[in-house]
Amino acid sequence: MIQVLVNGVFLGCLFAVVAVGLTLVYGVMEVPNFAHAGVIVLAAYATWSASAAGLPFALAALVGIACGAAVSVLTEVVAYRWIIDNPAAAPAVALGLMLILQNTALRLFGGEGRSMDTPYDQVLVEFGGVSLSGVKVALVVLAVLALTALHLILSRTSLGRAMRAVAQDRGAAAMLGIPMRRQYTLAFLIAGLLAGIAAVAYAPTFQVSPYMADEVLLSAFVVVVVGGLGSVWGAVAGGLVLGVVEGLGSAYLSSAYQSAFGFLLLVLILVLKPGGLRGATGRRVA
Amino acid sequence: MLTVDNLTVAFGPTVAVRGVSLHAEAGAVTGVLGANGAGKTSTLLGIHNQAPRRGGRITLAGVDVTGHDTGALVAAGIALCPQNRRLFPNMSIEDNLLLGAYGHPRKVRRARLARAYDRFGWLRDRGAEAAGRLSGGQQQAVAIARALMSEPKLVLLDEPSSGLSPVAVDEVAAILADIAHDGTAVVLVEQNVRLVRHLCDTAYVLAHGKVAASGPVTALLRDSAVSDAYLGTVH
Repeated sequence: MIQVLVNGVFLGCLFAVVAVGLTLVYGVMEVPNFAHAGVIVLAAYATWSASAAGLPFALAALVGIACGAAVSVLTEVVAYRWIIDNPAAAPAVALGLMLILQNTALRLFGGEGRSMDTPYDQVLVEFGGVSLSGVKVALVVLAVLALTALHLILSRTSLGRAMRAVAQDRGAAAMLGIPMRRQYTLAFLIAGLLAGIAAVAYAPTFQVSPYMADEVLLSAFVVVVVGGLGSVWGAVAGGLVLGVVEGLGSAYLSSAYQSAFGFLLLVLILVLKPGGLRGATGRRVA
Repeated sequence: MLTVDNLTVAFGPTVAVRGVSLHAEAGAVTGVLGANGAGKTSTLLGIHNQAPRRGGRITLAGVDVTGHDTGALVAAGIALCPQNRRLFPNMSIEDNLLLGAYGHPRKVRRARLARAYDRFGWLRDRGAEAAGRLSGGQQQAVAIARALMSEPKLVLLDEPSSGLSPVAVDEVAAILADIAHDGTAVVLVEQNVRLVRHLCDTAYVLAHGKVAASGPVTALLRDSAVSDAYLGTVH
């Protein structure tokens, strides 16, 4: 039972890191950023390529995270920025971008899955009868560090304060002279960094392939809705809840329906609390 | 201090402001009156570059700021206190205030925050409270304090008395008089004629996006043709 819960927490950390990137962008720009999956894919390939080229894994991981940030910012500058006043177009543009990014990966690296080796592949951490692979421990540590850093940025810095303001009332923020474009770019930069971290942490547990992030993205969107659209801490809580529910469901009921348990949770929460776990009347990114 | 010359604002095919010219002096409250839809809010938003201008020239203390974006206008010394306060309700009072000094170094922000607490003493112990939990009058005071955080030469206020009790309106009036007394120019858009009569020496009456009348407030309000046609009877 405890092993199942711990595995659920591992899954939840992954969902949370991906979902926080999504909810941040949604909070600031009201964009359902499906292209986030493509960003994760390209960040994972960048890490794999750098590692294959002989770079130490830590440096390769930094290359992957930087690539995620760059690609994410690129999607904002090239596409989303131009449809800010036309939110109805956002889902179609986001889906189009996701396909472009995935097909770019397909074109550059082919459809064959690539395995990513890490220095901690063989590490096994055991405590109290629970064992966790080094890869999973690394994911949890990375997730905690990334989300703590994000919390500090949002709550303690002028940029974070401005980002929260933009998420609550874009018009009022503009009246104070807060530059909107900078906030949009910053939201995508942070989302891209988180996508890169998710890629570096997630890729070693599966394989690097153009479609590696599809299921994670779907679960992350469930997390975003469960947590309350635009709520960072809702996404963290939602991620952990979904991870544990999917972990328990697949262990004790059927692993074939792992994702279905997440959607059942989504329906249940939307019936009981339509605004999500931390839903508010206005959007927010805190 | 502020001179607006021939300002035109249009939202697509709808022209909301048609060649409005007005002047506001430092240390005085200048009123802008008119019925709903007269173009008062659009005029303020046009000055602050928050509504699409189609023409006109804006100078602040002799400097042409017509082409400036809102950030540059705030830096130049124009602050807007918008209709319905537009505070960030889920954020703390202190965060709301600090956002008014966005873009300034931390030391400057903190110094201005201290000055805001000096002016609005009751805020000092409530800085951590969510702004959305305050009463309407208190929220209006925070909105004005936030506008002052940029240490503006000119404050544009859009219907600060809207939705407030008479007592709260009196408190807002005292704050505005105090701001003007410190030498700041204030442009006050209002439907509350009593407040304008109390605070303003000069006023402009807008109708259908144009200046229908202007001059000393006492003379405007004494003119029954102006009062009846544009302001409702106030005799």
